[in-house]
Amino acid sequence: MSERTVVPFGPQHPVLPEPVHLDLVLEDEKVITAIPRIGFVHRGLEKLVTKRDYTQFVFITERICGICSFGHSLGYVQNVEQLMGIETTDRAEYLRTIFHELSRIHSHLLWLGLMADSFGFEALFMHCWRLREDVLDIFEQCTGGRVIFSACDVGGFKNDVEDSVLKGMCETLDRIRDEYNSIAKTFLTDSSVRTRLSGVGYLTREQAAECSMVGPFGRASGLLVDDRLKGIGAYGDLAAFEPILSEDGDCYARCYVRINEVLQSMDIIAELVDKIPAGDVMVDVKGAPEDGAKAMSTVEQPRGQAFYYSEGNGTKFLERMRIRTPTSQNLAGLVAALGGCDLADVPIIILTIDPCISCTER
Amino acid sequence: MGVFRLGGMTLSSLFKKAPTRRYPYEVREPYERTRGHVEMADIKGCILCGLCQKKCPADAIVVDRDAETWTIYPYKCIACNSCVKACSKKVLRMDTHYTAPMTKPEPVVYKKPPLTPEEQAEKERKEAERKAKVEAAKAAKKAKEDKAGQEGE
Amino acid sequence: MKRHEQPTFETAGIEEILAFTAAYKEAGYRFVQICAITRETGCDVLYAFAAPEYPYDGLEGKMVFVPDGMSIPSITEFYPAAFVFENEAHDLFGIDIEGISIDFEGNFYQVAVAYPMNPRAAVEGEVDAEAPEGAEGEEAADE
Repeated sequence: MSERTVVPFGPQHPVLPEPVHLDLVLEDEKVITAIPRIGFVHRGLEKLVTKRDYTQFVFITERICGICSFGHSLGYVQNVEQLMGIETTDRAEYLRTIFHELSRIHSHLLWLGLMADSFGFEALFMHCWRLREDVLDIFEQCTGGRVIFSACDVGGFKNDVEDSVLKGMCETLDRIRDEYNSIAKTFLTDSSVRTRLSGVGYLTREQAAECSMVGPFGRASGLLVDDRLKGIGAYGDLAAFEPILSEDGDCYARCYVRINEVLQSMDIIAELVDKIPAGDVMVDVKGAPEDGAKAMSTVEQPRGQAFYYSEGNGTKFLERMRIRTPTSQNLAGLVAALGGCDLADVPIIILTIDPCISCTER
Repeated sequence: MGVFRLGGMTLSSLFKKAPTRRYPYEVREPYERTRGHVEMADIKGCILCGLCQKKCPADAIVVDRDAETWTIYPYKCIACNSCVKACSKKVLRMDTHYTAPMTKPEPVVYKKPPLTPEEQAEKERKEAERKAKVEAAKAAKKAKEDKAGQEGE
Repeated sequence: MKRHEQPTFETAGIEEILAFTAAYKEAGYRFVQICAITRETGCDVLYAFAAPEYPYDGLEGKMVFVPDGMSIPSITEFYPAAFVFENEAHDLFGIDIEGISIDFEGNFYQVAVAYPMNPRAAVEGEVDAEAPEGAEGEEAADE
């Protein structure tokens, strides 16, 4: 019977975008189990709801995470609108969806770069991030910020974007598409990449359902879980939307799902820019949420389903704002995927859940 | 499967122009809407109402009515544009360049200049006009009430 | 255009927690989250579940009122992913939950003040529940 050792992983590690700690119980080079530990970036943002009123809290939700920044402000704003019974204009819904899909493209490109960096392919990492710069330039041109946009507000979308600028955005995305296709081909067909990713961290669909996984992590194991199918907002106006699933369930499948989601997002943006209606983008919002009103909603962020719950108490400060991010839901799946893998595969498996720990802890 | 799948892109990037820029010798022009830093464009037009201080989510603006100053802490400011939108006299401006690096975070203070003699005279004249209007309105109201009282009797 | 979803909120008692969780699991519902809200004499715990088929109208929420000092059973035997939220509810709100599959016993978040979101549950005399409010506010203002 060989001895078991416990090796600490994190909170600082070159592959991790954010600090998370895992205690890996090893026998020779195989991981028996992993015990996660979070709490390094806990800022207590949910308590700030007592100090900043509901219009100022948007700025705090944006800063929960740099990568999913727009997704959080969108989810918060949609939730407060449900709480107060406000309906925005059609054009605002379309603009919000377009920017959310752009945010998905930027997040997946960032992740692809980190994935390449995790197995040492730095050239691919730099090319992915170079393409991402074009997307960040679009954000800066339309909203004024590269990473934190401050574009969503309760009642609509702050900066109206002219149709000519939207058409220019589609042309930029078409230009990126050719280079993106060569990057995708490298990820999916290069033999050195394939040997690192295939067969690693395999989870069946039953295991995925058992661990309540969400996002591309769950879709790669064949689990149909994509909240864009609910049809809220401009997602309901899409002609045909099918989430991308894969039956393989290993790291290669998770890469495949995210790579194709970028192409799907580019198509969604092109379709919405064609269909966008004219009109105002802001609705006047007066008053405060009623005492005892409650609202629950979800948003399909790049990493999965994010849940929002808010409660009003009659003043302009919300009583409670709860944000549950996809990574905290996927932690159980991470522990399941790490069972039985090699020590050298641990960074790759952790990266394939797309960890966004600052969202998890707020 | 194959090898060197990224070969095409790698080789061609040897001959293409570098996507990086030699900052700070070459600086990119910011976009029109870039949110850089907040400036007080016209301190004379500011009426020190304090709406910007109320709206600021980062508590970066301090309006002092007695000392007639408007202060901003640029390193607390998150460049969200709330103050510019809330300003009742539209004297705040969002400049497109980012806050310059400093060794210590210092506040930027704008002080309202004292009124020139012509402006002082203008202000007093307007105040006198306003007082006259108020008196006239009061007299008219009193006359109406007296008349209504007489007719009632 | 459908703008909002229609969630449902129902109240339930502590003794019904395992029963409704088992019923949802039988029906194939997906577990979404557990959160806690501070009230006057205890905490409200909200369990949220989502229907398995798309599109569904809205999430289904069950609100369970837990008075100070009472403990509730864990649902990790049905939904293993709940351990994260139950540990968080214990660390931030002081709710006692029995039988969590991976139980950190109060060390999940390593907060400086015990039970920061529910100061009543803090141990008396040991720590000042009001102290870090200023620090937390400043940190976020600097963000």
